[in-house]
Amino acid sequence: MTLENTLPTAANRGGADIAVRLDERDGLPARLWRSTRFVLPVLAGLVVFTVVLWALFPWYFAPQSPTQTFPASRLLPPGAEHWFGTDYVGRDLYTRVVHGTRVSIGGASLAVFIGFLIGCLIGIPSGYVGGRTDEVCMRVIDVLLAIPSLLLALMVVTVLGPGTGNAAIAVGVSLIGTFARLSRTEVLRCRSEAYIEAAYLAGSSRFYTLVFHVLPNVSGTLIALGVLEFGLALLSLAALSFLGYGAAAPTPEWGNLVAEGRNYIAIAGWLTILPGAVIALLVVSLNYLSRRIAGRH
Amino acid sequence: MSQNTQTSSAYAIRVRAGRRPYGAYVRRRLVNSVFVVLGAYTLGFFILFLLPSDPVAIMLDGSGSGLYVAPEQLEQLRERYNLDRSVVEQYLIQLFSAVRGDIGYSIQFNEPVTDLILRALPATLPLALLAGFVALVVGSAVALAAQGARASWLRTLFESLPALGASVPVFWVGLLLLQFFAFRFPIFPPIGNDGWRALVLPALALSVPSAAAIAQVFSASLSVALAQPYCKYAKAKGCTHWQVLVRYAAKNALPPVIGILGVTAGGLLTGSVVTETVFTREGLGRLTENAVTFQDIPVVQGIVLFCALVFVAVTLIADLAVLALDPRVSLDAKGSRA
Repeated sequence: MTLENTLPTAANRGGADIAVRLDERDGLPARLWRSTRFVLPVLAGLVVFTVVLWALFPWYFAPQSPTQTFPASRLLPPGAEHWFGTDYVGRDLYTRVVHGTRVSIGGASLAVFIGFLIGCLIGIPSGYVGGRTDEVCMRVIDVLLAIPSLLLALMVVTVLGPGTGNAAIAVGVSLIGTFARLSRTEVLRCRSEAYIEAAYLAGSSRFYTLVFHVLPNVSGTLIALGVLEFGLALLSLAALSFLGYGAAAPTPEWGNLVAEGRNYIAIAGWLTILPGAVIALLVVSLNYLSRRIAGRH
Repeated sequence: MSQNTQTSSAYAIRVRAGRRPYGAYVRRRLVNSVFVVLGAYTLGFFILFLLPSDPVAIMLDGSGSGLYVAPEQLEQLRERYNLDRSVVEQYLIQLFSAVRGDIGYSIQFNEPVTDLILRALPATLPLALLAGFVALVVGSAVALAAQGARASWLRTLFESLPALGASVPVFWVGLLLLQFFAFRFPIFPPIGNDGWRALVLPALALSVPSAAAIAQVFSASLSVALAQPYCKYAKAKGCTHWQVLVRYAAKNALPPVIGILGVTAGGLLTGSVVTETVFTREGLGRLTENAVTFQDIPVVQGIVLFCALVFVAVTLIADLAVLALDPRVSLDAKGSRA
């Protein structure tokens, strides 16, 4: 959707300076709120760090098997023994969430990689070369953005069939349009700067200028968008997996954990609330960090 | 969207306001819209038909029957769907029948795709419209609150709400609503299509991402508008902050919001895939899900075409509305925005 709108603009950032100047007059709630400016990045970083550790070393954090069933301890609510409770065949939900991390994070990484690579391959030449190339690329981007991203992903799933890798490719395809548009806008903005003209005057070739002057200057924004899109890829992937197009059953994946819990929503709410909350917490943290990278404040 | 804003030439001849060449602009936009729909159709065709797979095999395999099919029958099926012809021929045949309004038959139901979509719409349209309405109201209210709040902490709170809304999975929101307002406190029915009561929870869940997008865009454009000289002037004349916000800034900050309505409409239509699954409703979303699961390619392509049409139509109407309402938008002689 309108992703680049979520990155703070120069106009947005102006507000922060005013807020700082008014600081001395603020009351207790304001002072508490202000302290979050330093605490929140640390918390968001901790969430991301924990999830990365889960993905790298699932057995260290959850030594139990994620697929072995214990019918005796089915549908236990969250407690000291089972942090997230147990599901309808007695599997520990925390264990399943931890072991599902690698699949979900890996899928989202693959999706962002595909979207970033192909998007930049369309967007950067489009913005840099301009003219007829730009016209053609813009029309392609228009078409990609005219199809809602979930539908684009579902189209790819229709052909490739369900599965973790296929779902990740599908989400990657749905991200191409956004990456292409933003990389084009960024290159276009950068190309008109004085230092690019200076580089040409100094005898730098078009290609050398692109690689050593343009790309370093657009990479910051693109990386911020990449982080933001990673969160959104995670959401799309979870949605596909919730619909049943991700990893096949007993393999845990964040989206299909929520889907499995759906049947027990009236009697065992934790089965849907907790895995969903983990997804939401991670995406909120990524979103927040992305804004901090983009805004540099 | 409004790609013309970036391609305006510096040498364009500005035409005085009041004598704007609407005709040329509308013509340009119409041509552009037709191109986008055609592009979406072509992309759909190439993704769905050209990838190395045999649609007939998918068709027979996808229905899960596992029957033995005689080679002659396979040939007949291929002929029926024109699969024995070259790709270009297939594409042209399909394109021409699509232009005539025939977008093929569902493999699964053996019914025209148009009929299936038209039958699913009456269930999804109220859902999407209500969700869109909620998204507009809530999104604008949050944006106004974020820009209107004086205390910086309150302001930051409202400014971070849209980011939060954009970060939670829709299916999770739906399941939470279901859990609290259908099971713990049985106010609304948990499933089904009957009556307005069954519409409330799905519409709320569906509206969350759109509301977040609207709030983000509106909040950003409000803060730009508030920094303009006319707002400072209004304040200097003695207007309160809220008066400036509502009377002056809000009106001028609207065009970017109208600009994302096309994307919002597309998002609401496809969002129904998840929402209708969560709330076990019948409609376009379920039709899509079913078609994807059973690899019913003509139906998927029909839905892609439909969504592209809706997106293009809403975007076109929104752009024309902005042009008519906003005197700041000027057009050059060729009818592109300057």
